[in-house]
Amino acid sequence: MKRTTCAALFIYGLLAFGAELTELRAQTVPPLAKKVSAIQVIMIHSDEIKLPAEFQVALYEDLIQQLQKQGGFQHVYRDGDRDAASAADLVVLHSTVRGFKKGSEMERNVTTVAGKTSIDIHCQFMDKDGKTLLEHDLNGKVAFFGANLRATYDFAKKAAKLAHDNFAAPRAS
Amino acid sequence: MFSGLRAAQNPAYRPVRQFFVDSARTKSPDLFPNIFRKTAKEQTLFHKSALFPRIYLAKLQKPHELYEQQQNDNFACERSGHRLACVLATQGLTFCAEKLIVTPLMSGRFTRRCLIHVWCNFQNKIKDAAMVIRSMRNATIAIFWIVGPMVLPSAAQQPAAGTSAVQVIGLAGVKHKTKGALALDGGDLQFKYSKTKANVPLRTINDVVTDLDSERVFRGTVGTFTMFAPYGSGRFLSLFRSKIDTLTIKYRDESGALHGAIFTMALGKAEPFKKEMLAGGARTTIPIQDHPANTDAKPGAAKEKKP
Repeated sequence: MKRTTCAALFIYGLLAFGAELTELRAQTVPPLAKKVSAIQVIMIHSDEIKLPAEFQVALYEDLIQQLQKQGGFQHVYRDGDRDAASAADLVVLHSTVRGFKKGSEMERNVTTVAGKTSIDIHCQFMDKDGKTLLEHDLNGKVAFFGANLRATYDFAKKAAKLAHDNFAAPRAS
Repeated sequence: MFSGLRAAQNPAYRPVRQFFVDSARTKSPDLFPNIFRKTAKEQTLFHKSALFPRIYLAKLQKPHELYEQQQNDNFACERSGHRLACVLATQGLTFCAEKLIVTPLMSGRFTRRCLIHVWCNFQNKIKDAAMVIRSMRNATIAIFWIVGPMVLPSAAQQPAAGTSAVQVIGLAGVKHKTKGALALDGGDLQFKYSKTKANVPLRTINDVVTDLDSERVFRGTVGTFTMFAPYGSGRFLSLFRSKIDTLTIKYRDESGALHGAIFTMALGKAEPFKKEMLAGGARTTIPIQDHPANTDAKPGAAKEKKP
């Protein structure tokens, strides 16, 4: 009986690890060598998923602030900025919400395990001509401490790191 | 009732112990002051009761000093044959402060219906109740002092003009979660905070959306500390939440760049403010009558309109 349980657990672990590897392989796109000096952030779209306005705005603002904070880009343009048209090398970040679960801060505080807020966002980096350079699914969540809007900060940090790692020009030493 | 109360009326003197001495057990009540010979002032603390001539009201100003002298006093009193006075003095020191004390020795001498006994018990109960009320009042004041600014942010930090609001994120040059006042000044949406203003022209606002949210009553640094409170009390405090309105705007600057800003304010303040903004030239994608927050927030108000 005990041996059967151990074997089942081992097989389950192997399967989970394999699934994780497959997902990672699907997600990972070989980083491009293209480095740019400017990035433009387009307002987050949520056509299929109903996303509250405050989350949409918080995602957008947090993303811009994190990109500015990470550095590596001379300019971080906002959606609709006319100055972006004059940028020589520009990458445009489109973000589409694929999943959203609004949790509860009270549940998180009281139970620790319930009430998680989670946002799944598909990020698409394009050049000025509309050619896709990089696609990635990112997730923002707040599981323990903080208000629901903290999930947007979590996403913004990940997205900014992704942009920085793939497109930011190395700093001149 | 007691002539000795005259001493208590003197603002310069506030007794911390008082009890009664039965002079019938002593040959010479004048010896009582000798027990408390530490200070000259205390010699005036023995007063005869007008109603009960054999009862003396004793009020001790410095009981701790008396306690130190207890052994010597005992000796002196035994020699004088006034043990009762010493016992009373000792028990007066042992009992709690500011009470009229009828000691077991003395109370045994009174019948149950004795007026002085009833009176003393009544006085003690009043003083007990007063002490409880005083403690509760102090505790209530302390709680309000700690919690008040959080529960009633509008009352604690009333801005000079406009609606009290917190800028969560978005306004250029304003830190996250900045408290201030939101007002309409001419054709601008103005956020005033610590002698600084941030203006957004209403005509540049493309979208105004209101919503409902809630936040912890205990938040900020205090809220963080409560998370580590023992025995799960932090979790219990998390149950205390206050409802708030959120106001989200999207606007474009001179170069056409899209900005967004989120404000939180007291419940019921966002919708009227949105109306004012729309009247001032702002636009919205969700008209006020169709907004779900309207119907969710005030179901009672909607019912009231029905005949």
